[in-house]
Amino acid sequence: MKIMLVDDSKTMRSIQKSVLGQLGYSEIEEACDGQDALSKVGAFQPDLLLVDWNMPNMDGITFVKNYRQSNKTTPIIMVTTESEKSRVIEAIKAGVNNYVVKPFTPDALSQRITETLSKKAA
Amino acid sequence: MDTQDDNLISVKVSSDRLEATLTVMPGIDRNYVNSDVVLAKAVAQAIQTGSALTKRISEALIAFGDYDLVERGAFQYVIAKGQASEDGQDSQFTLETELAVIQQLSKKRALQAEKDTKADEDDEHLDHRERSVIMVVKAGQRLGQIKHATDGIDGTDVCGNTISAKPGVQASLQFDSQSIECHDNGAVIAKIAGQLLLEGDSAHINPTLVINEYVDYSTGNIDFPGKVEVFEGIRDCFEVVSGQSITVSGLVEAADLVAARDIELHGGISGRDKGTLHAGRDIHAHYLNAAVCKVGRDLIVEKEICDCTVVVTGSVRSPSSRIMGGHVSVLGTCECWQVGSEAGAHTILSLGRADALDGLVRDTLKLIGKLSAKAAKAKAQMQELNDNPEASSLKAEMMTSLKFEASEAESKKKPLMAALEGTYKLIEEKSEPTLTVQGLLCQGSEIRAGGHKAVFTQSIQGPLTIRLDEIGEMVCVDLKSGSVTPVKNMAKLSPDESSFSRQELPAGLRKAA
Repeated sequence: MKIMLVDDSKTMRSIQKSVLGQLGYSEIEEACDGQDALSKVGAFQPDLLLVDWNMPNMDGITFVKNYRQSNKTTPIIMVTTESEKSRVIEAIKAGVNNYVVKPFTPDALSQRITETLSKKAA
Repeated sequence: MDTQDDNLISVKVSSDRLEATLTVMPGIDRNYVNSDVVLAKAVAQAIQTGSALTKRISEALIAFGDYDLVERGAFQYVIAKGQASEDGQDSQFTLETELAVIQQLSKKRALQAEKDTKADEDDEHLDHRERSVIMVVKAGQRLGQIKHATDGIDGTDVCGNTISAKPGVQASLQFDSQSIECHDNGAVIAKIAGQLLLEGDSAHINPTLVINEYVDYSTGNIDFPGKVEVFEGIRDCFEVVSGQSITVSGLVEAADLVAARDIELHGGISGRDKGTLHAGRDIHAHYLNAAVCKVGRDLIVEKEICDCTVVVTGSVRSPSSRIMGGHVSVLGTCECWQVGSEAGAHTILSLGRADALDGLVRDTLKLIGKLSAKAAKAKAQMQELNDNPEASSLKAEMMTSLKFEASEAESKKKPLMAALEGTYKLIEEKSEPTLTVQGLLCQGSEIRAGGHKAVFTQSIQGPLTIRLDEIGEMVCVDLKSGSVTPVKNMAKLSPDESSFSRQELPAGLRKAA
């Protein structure tokens, strides 16, 4: 399974990568913002994306909207500090499948990923 | 018929009856020499007639036609040949090459020993210890090949009579059927492991190796699958390895002995800090001096253990023996007559110790400690951040990072705790840190147990027992009066850095009161 991590923080990408490693996923691509992600997503063809909201150059929501124009099915989990209800709704409307609020425990992230992939499989 | 001519032509049979030769002497009327005359002569000698003879006679006559009797003298031509017989071959047993080499070496060494000569110049560069003269074989190993005696092939003489061949002699080499099997194809195979002995016309395998004298240059190093018995001693720098037990009647010098089972020394070892004894089970000895000993089970010594480094996985059962100098480490109980010496030889006794397991526990505790500290630090930092009401994405990120750190440290601790529990249980099951001294515990003796080190400041008369009480402190029990005295009252106590203290263990692992 191929997974793309989109976050401007290297530390966050490292934590997520470690959690994914523990779940057995090793084919991982990283992008530092929405623009970088758009340039890589075509070649990499991920099966799951973990996307941060607040990023320079292109934020997460803009990236999701752009991505969803050509891909309606690949699941996306938003990993962000934004926890207000209106923001959550905005993200879901943009095409996000699931949501994790920072700070999160590795277990919480792991649970969300498993949940999202199970739903997709179903 | 001209009688004179008839006397000048003859056919003679050789003494071995394998050739018949036509001879024509000078002076004969050449016309007299014809096939009928020659044939008649041959028949007179009872030579077998037939086409072969007729052909040879024709050839002879052709050759005679060109032969000048005057110039060259008598004419001779072989007109009949027999077939020699082939005698049979005697039976033969050929040792496998590697065994034959050892056999040769053994003979050479025996000869050298007899003549009291030194090794050849060629041999000077070789390590003679490595060149064992004992034919050690494994079960199933091919020992050699038997070639059975053959009957031979009969021959035929010129008269057509059979020349009998002499059959080969079947040797009377006896192979012991209990230890050696002979296959139909002549292969000789060992049924058991041991020493192959070829004595006269018999061969057998002895599962026990008996060395009637010393293990020295005459024997080389020994590596034997079965029991080894040495009736004299073992010289410096030689090795004896046995897949079972080793028994030595005489002195073991600075040599190395390894036995999968027991080592029994009717004398002792004088190792000069080089000799070693490794036994998978027990070691019995009259004395041990300046040697390194590893004992898989129990150590029984009658007289003394002097300046040795000894590790015993079972118990030391030596109620009449003195332990003086060196370091004896025992997992089980230790009983002896005396510890230390009046002269102050520094003697260390480690009780309830299996060095390897102890080291494992100590190292695991250190790792667990580090991980616990890491998790605690991360949690403390998280608390600090939590106490700061200001929310920011940076703070959220830092919190996530710290949560991850704490979670990782805790998850790494789990397998270490499981390993620690397993190792400690193993030590606790086997460990009995108890020393019983029947005679005297000398001043200056160092006893280590339960993570403590006690150097006795006074000599204590036995019979006594040193053990750990319910809280892991060392106590001395007078076996006559029953009184119990804390060791700290009679010794200088300090932590044993080489071991772990029970206090360091997680509460769940400490022995229940």
